[in-house]
Amino acid sequence: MASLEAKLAEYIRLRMPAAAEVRVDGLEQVSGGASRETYRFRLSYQDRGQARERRLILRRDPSASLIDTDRRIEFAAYKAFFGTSVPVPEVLWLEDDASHLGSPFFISVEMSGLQTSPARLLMEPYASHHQKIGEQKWSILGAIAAHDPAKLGLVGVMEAVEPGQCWKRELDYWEGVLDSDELIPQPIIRAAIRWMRRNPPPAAQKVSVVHGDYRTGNFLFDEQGRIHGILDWEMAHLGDPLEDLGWSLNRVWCWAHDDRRGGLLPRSQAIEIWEKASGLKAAPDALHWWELFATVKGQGIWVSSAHAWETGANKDPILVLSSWALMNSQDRAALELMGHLG
Amino acid sequence: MRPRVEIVFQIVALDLIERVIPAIGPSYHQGTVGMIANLLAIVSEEWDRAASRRIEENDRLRELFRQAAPAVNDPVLRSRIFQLAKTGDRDFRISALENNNCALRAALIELHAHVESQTSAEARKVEDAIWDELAKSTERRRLLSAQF
Repeated sequence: MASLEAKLAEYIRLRMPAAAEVRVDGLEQVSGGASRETYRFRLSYQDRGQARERRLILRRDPSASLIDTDRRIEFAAYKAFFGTSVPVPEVLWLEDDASHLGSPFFISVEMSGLQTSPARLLMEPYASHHQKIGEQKWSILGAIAAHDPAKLGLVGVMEAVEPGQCWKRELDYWEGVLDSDELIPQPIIRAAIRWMRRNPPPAAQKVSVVHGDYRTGNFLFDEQGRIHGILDWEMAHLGDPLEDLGWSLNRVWCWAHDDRRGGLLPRSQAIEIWEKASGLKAAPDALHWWELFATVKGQGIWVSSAHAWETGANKDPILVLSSWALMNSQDRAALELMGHLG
Repeated sequence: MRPRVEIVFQIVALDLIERVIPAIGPSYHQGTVGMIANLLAIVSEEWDRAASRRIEENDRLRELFRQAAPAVNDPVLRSRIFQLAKTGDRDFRISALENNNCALRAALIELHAHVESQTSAEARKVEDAIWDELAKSTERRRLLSAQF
């Protein structure tokens, strides 16, 4: 850690040439998404004779992760939404050159004293605020869908897609992940994929920014039930906004072990809030397709995490745990959506 | 093995959660040990049923293949289904049972796709039997801690 602190300080000196006495300490690894190593640290420096201190977050690429993602896109998404109705932490520096810290990384401002854990959300004082948190959660998701990607400056950064091709691009990608990474056959998800190809959804109402992993566990909340930041934009892309809504409603995120989506609100209420905030419609057939897609994508992630662990690239226990704990639930979610759960 | 493996793992997992995690400083390491405890809890739950659920499922799939074979129009697939229906589990190590299960479930995917493309009443009957078996397969794998 001491060596990483020194390297970080050296890097920040390059980025802040006017600052004096740049120091990094208190470096601590934290749980922060499954695709990057996340650390918090304290930066202190002198700015024109004034002592300054900032709490920052380092997100560094690991050797292999649960999700293979482009840090440049993730950084751009944070930057684009900062200061808008979609709360996100401020990002400071993106570095592709691995020579500084051993692998590429970016640095953002830490939003301190907040929680992300779904387990915490089920405990007091947070449990009393589920309605309030749920309303914000799906309102913010609606706001993401309502934003114009061009005005956010994300067209060109994220790959363009035609409204009628959103579903195909995503389904092709995740089926490809299953093809390359599955360690055991997946008869339920393969049946879901065949059904989805026979019954494609309508073209997207609009092409919007899709967060890509919008769920309870990926936002920061406080004891009063306020959401302060949406995190983990590593799978952000342009696409059908129903993709995010479908993912947020995925059964595997029913942390309270009941029907409330994300452990927070009934499905119908979440949809209603999203429609109001986005100004879009969640047509039942189209949303059904995207909810089923969420089970394919989920299984793609759990399958590839098991593959990454087994092939030796990364031995983080989260790769095994996510696979063991979620694959069967994901299958059951797909069966339920296809009317075959029994 | 006595004490029984599933109980040992259960107690060790609880011990990690109740005694070890609170004594660990950095939250990241607490999280890692928490994940290890969860893995042990899953193994504890899976240990005792691991062989029996695979044997049961493999037998059900073979029986399904026996009944489905006449409805299969593709001769290559029909022959494969027949051959698999005649196999059995003779090595009861989990890895061997799992290998057999993978071979059977891979063939099940092909059979499922095939009958979906057929319009006969026999094909629908096989399709219903497949869905029924798939639903049962998730019951066999279900974990107490699962959200769904």
